[in-house]
Amino acid sequence: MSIPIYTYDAVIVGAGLAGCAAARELQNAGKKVAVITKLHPLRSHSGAAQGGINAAFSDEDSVELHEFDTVKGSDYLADQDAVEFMCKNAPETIRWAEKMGAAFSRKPDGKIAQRPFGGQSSPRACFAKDRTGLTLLQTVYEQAYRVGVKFWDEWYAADIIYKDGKVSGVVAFNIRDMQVAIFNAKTVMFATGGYARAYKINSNAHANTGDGLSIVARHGLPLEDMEFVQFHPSGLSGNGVLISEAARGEGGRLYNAKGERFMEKYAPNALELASRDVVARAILNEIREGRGVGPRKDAVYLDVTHLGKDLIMNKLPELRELAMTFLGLDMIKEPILISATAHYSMGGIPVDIDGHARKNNKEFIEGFYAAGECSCVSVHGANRLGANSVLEALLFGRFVGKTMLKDLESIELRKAVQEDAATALKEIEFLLNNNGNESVPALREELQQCMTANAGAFRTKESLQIAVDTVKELRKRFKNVRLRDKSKLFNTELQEALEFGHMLDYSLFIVESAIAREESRGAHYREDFQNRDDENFLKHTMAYMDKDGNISLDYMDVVLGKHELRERNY
Amino acid sequence: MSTEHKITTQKVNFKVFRFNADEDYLPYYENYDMEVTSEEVVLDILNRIKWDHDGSFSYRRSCRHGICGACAIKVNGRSTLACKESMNDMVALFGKELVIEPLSIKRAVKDMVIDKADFWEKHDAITPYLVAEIDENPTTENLVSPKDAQKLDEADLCIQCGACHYACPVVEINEDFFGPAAFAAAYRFEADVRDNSESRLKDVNEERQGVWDCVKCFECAQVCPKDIDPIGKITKLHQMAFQEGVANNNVAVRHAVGFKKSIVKNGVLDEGGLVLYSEGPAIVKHLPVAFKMFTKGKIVPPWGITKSENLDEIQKLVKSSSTAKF
Amino acid sequence: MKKLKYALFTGCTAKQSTPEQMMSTMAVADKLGIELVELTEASCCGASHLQDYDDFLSLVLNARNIAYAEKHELTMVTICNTCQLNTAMTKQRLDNNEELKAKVNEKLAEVGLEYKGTSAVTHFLYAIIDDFGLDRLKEMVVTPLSQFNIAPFYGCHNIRPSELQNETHKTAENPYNPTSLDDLIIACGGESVDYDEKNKCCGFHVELQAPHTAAVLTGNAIAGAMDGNADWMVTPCPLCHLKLDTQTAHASEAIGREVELPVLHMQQMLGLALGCTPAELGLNHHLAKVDFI
Repeated sequence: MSIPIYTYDAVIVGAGLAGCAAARELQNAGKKVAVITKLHPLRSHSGAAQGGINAAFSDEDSVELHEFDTVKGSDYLADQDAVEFMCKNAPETIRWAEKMGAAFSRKPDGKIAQRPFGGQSSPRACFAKDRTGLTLLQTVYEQAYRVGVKFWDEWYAADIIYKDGKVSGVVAFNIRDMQVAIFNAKTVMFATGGYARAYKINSNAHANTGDGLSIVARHGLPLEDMEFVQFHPSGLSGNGVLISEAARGEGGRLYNAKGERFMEKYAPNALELASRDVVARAILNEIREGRGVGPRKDAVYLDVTHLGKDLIMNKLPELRELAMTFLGLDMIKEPILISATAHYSMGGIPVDIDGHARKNNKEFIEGFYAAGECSCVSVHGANRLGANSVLEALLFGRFVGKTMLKDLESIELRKAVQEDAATALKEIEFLLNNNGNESVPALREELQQCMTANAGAFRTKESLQIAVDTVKELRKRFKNVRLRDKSKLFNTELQEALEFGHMLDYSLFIVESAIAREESRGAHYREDFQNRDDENFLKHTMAYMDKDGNISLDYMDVVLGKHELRERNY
Repeated sequence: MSTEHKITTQKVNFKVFRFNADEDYLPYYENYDMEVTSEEVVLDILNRIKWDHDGSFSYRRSCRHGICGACAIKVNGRSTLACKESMNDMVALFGKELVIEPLSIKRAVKDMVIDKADFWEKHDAITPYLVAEIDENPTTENLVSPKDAQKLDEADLCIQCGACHYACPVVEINEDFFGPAAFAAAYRFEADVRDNSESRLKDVNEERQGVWDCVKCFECAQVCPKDIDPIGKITKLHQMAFQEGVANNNVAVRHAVGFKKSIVKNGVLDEGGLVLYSEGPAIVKHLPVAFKMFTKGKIVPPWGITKSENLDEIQKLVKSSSTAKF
Repeated sequence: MKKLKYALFTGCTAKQSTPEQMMSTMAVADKLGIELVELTEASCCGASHLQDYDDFLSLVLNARNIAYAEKHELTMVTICNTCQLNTAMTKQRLDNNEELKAKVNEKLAEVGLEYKGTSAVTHFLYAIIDDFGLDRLKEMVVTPLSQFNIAPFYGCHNIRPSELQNETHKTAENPYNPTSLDDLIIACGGESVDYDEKNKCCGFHVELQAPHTAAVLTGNAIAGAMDGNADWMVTPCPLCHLKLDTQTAHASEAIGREVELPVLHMQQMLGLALGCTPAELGLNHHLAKVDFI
């Protein structure tokens, strides 16, 4: 049976903000575009972003301040040319989203309203109540749909076609019936989202299994700065579901079991609105030292009761609902229980400002692009500022679409052949037919527990070595897996197994990169190396996986600029 | 500062709909007894069935906190967003025997997964985007007053989960009917001061497919996990049709307008007069039933109607308070 | 115990197409010793159709009706689900929105009235359960309906949206599994029938514009009760009653199955149990056969 080959100018994997924005740009210019997503586009995780999207356009603010806050927040690991590009284009990008229909909250004069966020010098986060990502995702999808983008929803992208330094398509299958197809294209963009699902306590959607990263890595291509995983300070106790920074931005306070407003110790000036890594570690430290609260003593209090019912209902209604659903606590009346949760992936597929994916420090891959959380531009460096993620996804998604449009003038289509699907078919066949005694949910549980315990907000050489060993061991055991579901219809067990395979591979990138980085910077905190070490580690990690699955590390210079290196205090 | 927060557990029996359209001729139900905790939501139970009992059990899910809309199913016949309903609430509503089913059994593909094609077709049919010229390089935003922004009335929070669509009795009977979610989406754009669509409001006011075929059962408002109140939006779309002069002169529209005519005349309704005004000559089709009703003393002639006392007050108020024209 | 007294908002149907409902309401109130002061000044509630045309006008008219109940310093009792919904919804909106209330009162002032928000609005069903009490009712039953399987048909506008409805009465009703009417049947000595359609829609509101939809819903409801082995149905809503009682021919045709059951108003059922005569309860006004007495 032959596999159908569909031909496009551009194939985009992922239908969140970045994917939809790029697709609209290309389709609008008359190109033939396909977007492949394992969900329906409107289910993409961009829609879960709550608090806001940054743009410096108020009178008290400036693009330069936005740059400074971003670079400082990144612990100086961000590439300043990329940061400049993002901050400069942020106001236009947000107004463009507004013109397309985004339902922003408004100031009395009718302009887009903005709120304070952690690590920022000025109220800069434009918002739509506490569901900013939702309105942005809906809007960009709607306008992409309007111009006629073809969405292949509930299709699972299993592999890229990569040969001789060039990407020429995607191998994917229809989740509904397992029909495999080759999407042959001149340009391919990955907008596949983040990888925090590797952790037990995380704020991410079930879908955020980072497939895109290891698909790329399995071809021997690099992943950048994978050790930098952001732990958000406020996940709901027990399950990590996110309570947006907006809760603190609007004035929420943190207390420990002794009733102390403990941020006074850790960040005397910014208090609860210090950078995320700082607040997350403060919370975990309070818990570690026995001042945690809740039935498991694994949380601290987040108190917004003093803000009053009106403000909470008007600006934080979704957050209140979440606390009611998962904790049975009403934040209008009582403090809620929160703790740090794995949230955002700073690392990813290395790209330049235009979205060209890197083959190594010097060369680029022809016809291959990435944007959004799966990419590493890097605008976030070692730690992302709140309300910069949706900005990055929307802005770079759109601009990478423009880049692809330009590149399409010179890129030739390399015709796909049936053998291009061989690797993906082999992987699927192995999983369906292997007759071992290991189960994916059990292995995944072990991986996630291990990552949270050993590669979390506090790390040491020893803990990371445990993680390395565990991942390698789990990889072996995964070869002995058995699936119960052999059917071709909506085989979500197979899908979870594929995803778990990816999680294993990229988790090794996280821990190997982390073990080598003998310093503390941003979200990467080594208890055995507590200071930032600019002399040795002001550089990006570039990690590669060989055919046997071993990781080798290289480093790439950081692009510095006008914002000079300083000690980072809040 | 303290919060009383205890975790409790209880034993619950789940009767779970199972079906694989490729393999099974008929669906069946599987029983699972589980200890569930007060921290768990319905999605946790689905996960435990899949991960601890049967890997082939299939359902859609993603965000797990009520914003992506993927995981809507039915619990004891009630449309439910699995990740947003705590087990404690479910037990309080339905007891400790819970039936887990897909949103629509006749559309079942595999276990909880249904073919939602009809839902998306209806969504696509209402021009589901802001109709406006897009300035690709804007230097300023549209100015929208907070009051105008408020007019969306939370319709923009709809997550397309389909809970209301598959709870709507009309959707089951009339396949042309857009359904409550599509109407809420239509309202979201119609209420937006930036939108310039000339067709959407007319489309949703067409007979059979449009708002006039809503039976007003409030099932949609009751099931909506995001409290969008779809029927409230349907009511507003009716009102907009009059405000913007696109209400067609049909039986449904005359039926609404007829109430006012009757009230002006009698204070109360003239039931026969209302049907006559609404139907026009088509009233003949009602005559057989009307005759039977007449013989049973159920039809009061126009001259026999007991008018409201102080009718002049009512007439004065209708005059001063009317805000719509037809 | 103090004598119960309410302002009665009859609605239009009780005075026209369901005269038996008016008769049985008064007969039952008499038996129970409940005083009902009829609001003869009241206008039509708009039945959710005027609301589609002119929202503000419907608010003003409903506020006027409630204002008359307030004049009597009495709780308003409704005997029609749709009257209950529209009146309670008006009350909820005005009580929670000072600006809107002021706008409405500006109009009412033209006729010398004011809406204050001092009168509650509740359906007769809940007045009996909450205020009179089922235990007391049981004691007064003289003809227990013990030989009957009775299918309760709740009607949408008494149970949904529950957030609004449950504000108007003390008995919390679960819209997915309502019990009030079942409890009333049991209090009258009857056997209540459980069936899927008991909390579903009868289709009344699209009778004219979508007759097929309306007929299928009516047919499904009666069929469900028949399959539940019901001897007859009972409903607190005269609009549901009209559908279930007078539209059986269309309903049968629409679902391809002959369906018909006697359908009683809630007040008629109460009346039978309390010893009223069929004539007092207007049982001769039905189209569907009432042949079980």
